[in-house]
Amino acid sequence: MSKESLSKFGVRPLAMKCQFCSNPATMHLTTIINRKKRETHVCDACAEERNILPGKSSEMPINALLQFVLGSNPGIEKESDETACPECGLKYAQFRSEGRLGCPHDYEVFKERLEPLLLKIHRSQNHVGKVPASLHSARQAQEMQNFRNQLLEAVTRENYEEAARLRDLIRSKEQLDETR
Amino acid sequence: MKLDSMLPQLGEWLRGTGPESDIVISTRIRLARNLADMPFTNRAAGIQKAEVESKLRETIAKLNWHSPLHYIGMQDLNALNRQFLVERQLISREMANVLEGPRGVAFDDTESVSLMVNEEDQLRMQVMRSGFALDQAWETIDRIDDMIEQKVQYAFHDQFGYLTACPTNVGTGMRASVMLHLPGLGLTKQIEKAFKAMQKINLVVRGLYGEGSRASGDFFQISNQMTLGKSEPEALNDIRSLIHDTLKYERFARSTLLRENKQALQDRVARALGTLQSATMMTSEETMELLSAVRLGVHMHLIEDLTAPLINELFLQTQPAHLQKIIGEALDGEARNAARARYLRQRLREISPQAN
Repeated sequence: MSKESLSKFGVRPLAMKCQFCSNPATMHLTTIINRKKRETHVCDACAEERNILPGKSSEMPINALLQFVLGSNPGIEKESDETACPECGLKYAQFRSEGRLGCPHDYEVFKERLEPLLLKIHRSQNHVGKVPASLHSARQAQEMQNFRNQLLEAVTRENYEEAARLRDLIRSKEQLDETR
Repeated sequence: MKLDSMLPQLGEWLRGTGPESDIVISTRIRLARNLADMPFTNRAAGIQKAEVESKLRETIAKLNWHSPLHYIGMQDLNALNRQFLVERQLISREMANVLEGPRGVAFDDTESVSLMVNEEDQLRMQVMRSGFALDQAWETIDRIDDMIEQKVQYAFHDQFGYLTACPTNVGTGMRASVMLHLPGLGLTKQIEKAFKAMQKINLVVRGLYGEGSRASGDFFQISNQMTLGKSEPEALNDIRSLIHDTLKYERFARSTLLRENKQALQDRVARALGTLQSATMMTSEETMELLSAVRLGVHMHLIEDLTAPLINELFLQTQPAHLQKIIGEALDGEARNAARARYLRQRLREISPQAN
């Protein structure tokens, strides 16, 4: 995320005047069209009167940020923009213009295009953190099964040292689960 | 539940207590969640939204939470009442204004837990605490999340974590915000410097009412921006350490002001109070600025009769929807400004009669 895009969240000097009347400006809008940045400073009354508020949406700056990132995404090919998610029918082009995905499957369908985007927004492409408990236990069960398979294989290969290591590992993990 | 009965009470987050409450107003953590195999709210058909709503409403109703959670359908509320809930931070402005179809919110009596259904994400959970209380807020919301997750299957991806409608929330889906009152940094003109430091480590500074709102009266919300690549405790630690620094700077600014400009500060506080006690027209913007100065005066012991919870109360009750509900009629901007000034005069006379 660039400093420039973040500065949109920053707070501007309080003394800024409304562009339409002389009241103090209370809204500071940044619009980016064709990569050209334009700033508008207005007071509540003029914003409402002239309908310049973007739907009074609480998500405005995040949208602006997303548009900024989407707009500067290089190597956009028209063709892949038209690929639609088989579940919800969303096309990447629609996501580009609306800034919202349509369903959980979109993350898989548009994975290759989302990864660089996520890297820009979060400086990461991988979740680190909470995992639903159901998945957590499924993952653990899978891991244990893998250890058991490896143990069997080690015994078959008569690699008893490795087998003993795996046996102890499985035991300690089982004990840990029991104490939980 | 009758919303009017909430009118005289303050939510837990406005109690004016808790750690560092001279500077930190409140702490809020929200989690964004969606159900597996369902389109997100913006793309769901009416019938799907209704399905999500009834499933989540039922789950919330059966939640074994220690205090009852009241569920209200948005369709049962008029615009004024929706705005009322926005002012109490129980629903987002988006929930009040934008989305169509079945949607609702559940919250507890203390207004510290709120669960929005069919907002931008199907479930937006929020926990609020008075003062600087990131750990308590996280523990509570984590527990609620676990309880709900036992009943429904969330949309979760091995690589991307909890899936959300907007990629800016994907991963943990967690946004932690701390609301600060920084008049010292404002008066000593160091606020911009503080913001730059925050932005450098990817925290976001916003006005009081979240994204898109302006910071007024030296009230600011600091939140984490990134939700992918950092665990929840790591993200909370980032905010925590920055807030600790900010508190140090704000306290230093306040003590410098007291040492070097006490008379000017006293004058500023007294003028603010005087204006609140005698003006006949008052915008919510100006009210916020003046209450900010008075709040500083209370915490620096420059004012005796007033307390922080009272300032919080005035601050909440003078918001447009609250004010109209107190007066009992819909008022346009100008009439509201007159009613607001009248209300402030009256309340301050009740509390501090000798000051008049």
